[in-house]
Amino acid sequence: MSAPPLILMQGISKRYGELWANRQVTLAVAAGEIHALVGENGAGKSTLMKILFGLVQPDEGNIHLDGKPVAFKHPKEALRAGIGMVQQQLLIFPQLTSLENIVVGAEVRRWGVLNRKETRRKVEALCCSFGFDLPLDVHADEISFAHRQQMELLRLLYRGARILLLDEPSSLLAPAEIERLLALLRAFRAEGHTIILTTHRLREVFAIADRITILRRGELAGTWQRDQTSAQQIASLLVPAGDDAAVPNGDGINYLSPGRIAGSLSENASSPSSRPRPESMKDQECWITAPAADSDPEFVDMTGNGGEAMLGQPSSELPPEAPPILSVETVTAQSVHQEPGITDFCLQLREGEIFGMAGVVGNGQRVLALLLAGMHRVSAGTIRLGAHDITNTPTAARLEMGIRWLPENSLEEGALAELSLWENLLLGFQRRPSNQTLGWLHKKRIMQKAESRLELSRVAYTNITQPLSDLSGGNQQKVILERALTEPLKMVLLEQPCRGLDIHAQRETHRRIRSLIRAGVTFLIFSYDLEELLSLSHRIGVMYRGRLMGVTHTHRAERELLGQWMLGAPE
Amino acid sequence: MAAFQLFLVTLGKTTPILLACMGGMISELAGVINFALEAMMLTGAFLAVWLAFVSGSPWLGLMGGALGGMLIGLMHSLACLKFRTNQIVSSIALNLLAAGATGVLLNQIFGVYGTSPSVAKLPTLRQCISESLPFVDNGPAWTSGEISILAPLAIALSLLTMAFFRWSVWGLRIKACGENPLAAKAAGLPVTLMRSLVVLTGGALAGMGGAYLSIGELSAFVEHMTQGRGYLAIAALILGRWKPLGILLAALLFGFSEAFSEWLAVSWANLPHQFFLALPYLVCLAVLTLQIGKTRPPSSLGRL
Repeated sequence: MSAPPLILMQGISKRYGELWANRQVTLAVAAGEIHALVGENGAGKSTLMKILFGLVQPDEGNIHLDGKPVAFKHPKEALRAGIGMVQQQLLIFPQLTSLENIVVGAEVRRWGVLNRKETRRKVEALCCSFGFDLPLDVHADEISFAHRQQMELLRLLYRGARILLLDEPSSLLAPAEIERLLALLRAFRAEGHTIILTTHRLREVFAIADRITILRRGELAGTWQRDQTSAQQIASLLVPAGDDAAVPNGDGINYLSPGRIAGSLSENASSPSSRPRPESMKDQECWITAPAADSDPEFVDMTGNGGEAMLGQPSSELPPEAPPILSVETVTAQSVHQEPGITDFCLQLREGEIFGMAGVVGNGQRVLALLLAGMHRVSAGTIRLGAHDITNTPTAARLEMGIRWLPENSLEEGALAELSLWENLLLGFQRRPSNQTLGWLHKKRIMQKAESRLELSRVAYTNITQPLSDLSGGNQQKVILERALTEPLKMVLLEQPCRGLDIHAQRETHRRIRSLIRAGVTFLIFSYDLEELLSLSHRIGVMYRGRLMGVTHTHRAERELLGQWMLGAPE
Repeated sequence: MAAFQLFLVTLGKTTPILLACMGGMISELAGVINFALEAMMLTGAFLAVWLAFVSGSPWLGLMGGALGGMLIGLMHSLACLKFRTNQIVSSIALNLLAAGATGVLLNQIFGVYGTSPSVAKLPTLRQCISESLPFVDNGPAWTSGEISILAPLAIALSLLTMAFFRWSVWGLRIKACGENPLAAKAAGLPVTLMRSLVVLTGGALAGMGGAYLSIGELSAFVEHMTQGRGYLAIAALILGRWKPLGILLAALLFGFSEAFSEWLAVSWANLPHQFFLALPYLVCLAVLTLQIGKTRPPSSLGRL
């Protein structure tokens, strides 16, 4: 392009200890474009945005805004220059209304008195011109995640931001909410705003971005015009070539794994993925109505549920006569904190089944998991494991029965960060006769066992006695996950099992889960990532406001329907 | 007439709790836990007497009370906001410190144990009226009861606080600091500075509450004279759900139960007097258990 870029970041480097978050990265963004930053977890997308927003100071490099050099020491300065950022972790004031959330700090006022009428008029005008559908008088903790995100966008627009940075804006949204978000972004572009967004979902990138920049392990892999590249090319660029071979094929990760995408796209790919897919599936899979998506056959293919094919149809592995193992019978439970309770909830899982529980954040999934783990009281109804009534059985007895639980915020709820690795692995199983005599732990034996288990799950650590908090986030998750898979297993509850794991660890985890179901272990997996559930589970259920909206077999799952369920619309 | 007397005593007993409670409320709305109300009241009570003793003016004494509370507020905000101490631990330390220090200072300054010499008292409402409006001879009939001028002032302050949080920009901003300090910072608010100022203001209010005890109700400082009213104020804060109107009602309830138990003690002189002393606290306990589960403190209370 001939015009000088609106934003030019040159030679940006940022190091955290041994790790280069960004290394000599250069990014040029033109005025009025939607620019997608793509890369795996930990590729340095967020860091780059935080540097631009003044949240993080770069070690090297310079930034030009509109041709003039800038260096933001604080987000305040970036905001003054018209740059606003919506971080992945939303910043809301829970007990203030949406309107107050938007305007606080920049209110229309006179003599220190808030002019609510004028403030509201300004916000409503913004809502109108861009098509926001946000309720303004409700407390922020009572509105959906999608609305909170809109609220943050409005907060930036209200302050006159012209350049919007969005970090993983779609990761917690339901399909229809993503569409709405994309529509909003297009409206911003039409008004002349410039948008930079990070995502690891190519589907959205091709639906909306004008240009695409790829980061790989903190380094720049290149920038492309959308129409001059393909999903295949982008995907193959995401991970350095050497890595692909190291990962065996044949798992169902539905992320941007080059192995899978390349496998499902190339003609001579090995085995099941090259199987012709039924023509009729294409429509329902391409649930984002983007012109680019419709015209690009590769795109459609990429978004498809190829993982299932590569799995060799997991649902067929489950014998239809597998005995029911867990039954939740018209269970009602109170809400916990901000998570709504569940009402008249029924669910039956069969032995050796992987059941995926989908739903937008905060629709009662947590309460269900807490109930099954024995961390919350059932107010009415029964829960049975096999023949046993476990409705309000204490957690210790559940552990004894083979029920395991990986909590959503695993480090806070499921680990003792300052204690050693072996202690964290032992937690909950310390009473077993093999681990203790009269209350004295068999430390040597326990530590040896712990070492071999961590070896097996490929946790990177130096010493079994080092505190868990020494490890990186992904490795911490692996340790806690390993504990949740302590034998003997019967029923495993996993909340967001792959949170913080890189793509290889995710594959490893999925493979582990699949091998365990052959031994008759049942999994109930809670995830906000529909793709993950679609690629892993036999059946998928969707929760909405504490109810089960519906259950479907994965191989018969229609994304559109799942999306509708996630938003509470019955068929 | 007994009912009217009871009402006046209730107002009197409400005043220190209400002032302290408001001080606690604004501090906690900004997100800083304030269990140091007891210390603020006690220090305020002491400094009020000291300044009144030195200057001879009860009004300067009242200012001294506010300063005493602010002194504790300053220490609390330094400990919590600058040195990032646990806010509850800091509060407890300050409460213990104030209890000890006022006793020592009482002895060092006045050379007495237990009770300070008498000082000038704040005028009553009746005195104020007859002073400023000399043509009203003895004041209208409803001022016949003896009630300190601080009581109506406290009610007025409480209404002012209500208006402040309802309409002012700064009320909204203070609440934002207590809801999510990170987001408040991102919205460009000087969170730490605002919190410090609010804790100081809260200290001034609680200190005036203490001053009411020493130069409003009595005219001397008595060691440990707050008798846990600072804690009662915290209970009123929770009962009032961190809302100005709520805490006004809660403080009135506790004030009434104190007044009522005093009245009972007079009517049933044969019952042990400790029972009546304990009554307000029993009421507090009972009411707090009744409404448990419905309260929602500021979302980021105690978090920096």
